[in-house]
Amino acid sequence: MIPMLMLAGFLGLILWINRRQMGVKTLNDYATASHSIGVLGITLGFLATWYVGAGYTVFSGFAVSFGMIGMYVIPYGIITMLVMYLVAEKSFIWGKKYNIRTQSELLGLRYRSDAIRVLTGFAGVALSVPWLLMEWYTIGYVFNYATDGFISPLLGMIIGIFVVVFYVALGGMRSVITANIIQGLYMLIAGSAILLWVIYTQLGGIEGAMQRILEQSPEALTFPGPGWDMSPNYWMAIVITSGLGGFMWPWVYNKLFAADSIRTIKQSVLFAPTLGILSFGLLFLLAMALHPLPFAQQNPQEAMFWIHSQAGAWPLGFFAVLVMAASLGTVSSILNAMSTAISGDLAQVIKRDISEKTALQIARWSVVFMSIGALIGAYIREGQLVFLALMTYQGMIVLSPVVLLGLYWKRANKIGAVNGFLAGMAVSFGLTIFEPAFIITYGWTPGVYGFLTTLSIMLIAGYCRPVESHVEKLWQDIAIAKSTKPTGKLATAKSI
Amino acid sequence: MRSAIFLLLILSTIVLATFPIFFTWANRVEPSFIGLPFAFLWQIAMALLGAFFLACWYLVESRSGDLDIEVESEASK
Repeated sequence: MIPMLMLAGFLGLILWINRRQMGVKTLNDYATASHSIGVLGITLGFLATWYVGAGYTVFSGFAVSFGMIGMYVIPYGIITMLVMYLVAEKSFIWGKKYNIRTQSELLGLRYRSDAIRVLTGFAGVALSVPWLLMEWYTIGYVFNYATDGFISPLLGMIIGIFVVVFYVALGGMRSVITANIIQGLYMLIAGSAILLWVIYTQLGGIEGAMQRILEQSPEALTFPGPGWDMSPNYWMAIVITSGLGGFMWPWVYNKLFAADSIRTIKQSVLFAPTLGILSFGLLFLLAMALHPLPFAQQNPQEAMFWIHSQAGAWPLGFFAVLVMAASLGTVSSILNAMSTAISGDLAQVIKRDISEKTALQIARWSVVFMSIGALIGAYIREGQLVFLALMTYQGMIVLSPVVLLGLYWKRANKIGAVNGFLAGMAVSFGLTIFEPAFIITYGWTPGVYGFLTTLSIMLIAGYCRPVESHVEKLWQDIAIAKSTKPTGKLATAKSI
Repeated sequence: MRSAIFLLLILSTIVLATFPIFFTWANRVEPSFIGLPFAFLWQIAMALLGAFFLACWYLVESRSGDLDIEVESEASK
């Protein structure tokens, strides 16, 4: 009863806090909140969006089973910090100057290519679907577990959909960020506190838990973990693919266009991954500490819920709300980004004279239809969701050369970007599906080969053709923006 | 030049945390601290070092006024 009331209270709070955000009038405001979000919103927006609810079930299950492998979130967070820092300046300047709303629109502008815009927009939507399904399923699972079976997973998913669709469709990015602030604060403060509390009350503290692993299963303290024979190349591959691919998700990247300044983005870059590393580092520490326990060994994905239920109804309630906060944060951002992409990157490219009002309606109805479709998909294909979600990372990393070279290398051109992206995707998914022997023996994940394919094609195409004229103009925009900065004191006062 | 130095420093921490030669060297239990094996401590130390370099980069950019950029938006679409 206590966990159910806590979940209901949390969902009620999300709706109540968003009650004044429902009057969005244009697609631009729906997608970017008119570039008005400050450092708190962007930091917690990154945090709540990026860290998924399935991290507390499926991914912590890997750490329960194999130990040390879960720590990959720490170096991966640093790569993401660096990528975010590098893309911030140009994305913000071009985003604000040209009223850009999505990552694909930015790429369309940089390469002056509708093909790359539609292609990356479509890929972003398609690759996000498994995550949407998995997060819906997690929401249903949370309700079911926390209420001891009283609310079925299907009913739980329907309740979750009702809440999310309501505030995303009506409030757009402004509502998403407002909810993200609550979700992110909860994840950081209450979430970290409950994880620490469980480590100390149920497992004898960090030292006691590590001592137990050392005595019973010391191989879990190092890579690759018990019962698994994997090359160290695999560690490098998952850290680099996750780090480079993690920030390429359109639902994470689009937060850059909502920020009110470059200072805001760069401050958020420092705070969000650092706080995320602390929060998720703690989660994976607890997951590893569960490794020696027989129930956890047999039910790794259920282990985190189980240990909290052993601690009592209140800890279970706090943990259920933590998973719900992470899931809602991700789901709302995915829906906002996907609906914007469908309206802005597909509908408005196919039919350019669509009015802002119609574009907004398309985005809103996209949220409703995608949510219903995802509900059906999550209910029917539950068993395959994890596999599909992990597979999508192999596609997402292919986008990183297109983005990074586009922002930093004048020679990067549309021929290289389109062909490189398509070839990289084909290599990445081809190797994922057919899984030749060298993938296992050498240890690199298929995404690494896809990434290298895209990078090579873009470099070759770049040197085969002269720099395109519109690129000089875009670089000039950056130079002009940098040369027209206001006086330091005034700007600092404004930002405070 | 300044950006290149910071970039190099941060990339070095990533290399030290992930490249097989360094990772394999660090992938051991001892020496440990409050029960945490050296493999964990190494990853945490590299992450903290990377975050420290990034924070320094931010401070340098902030003090030189590079973050105070005003952008004029073109006519809305």
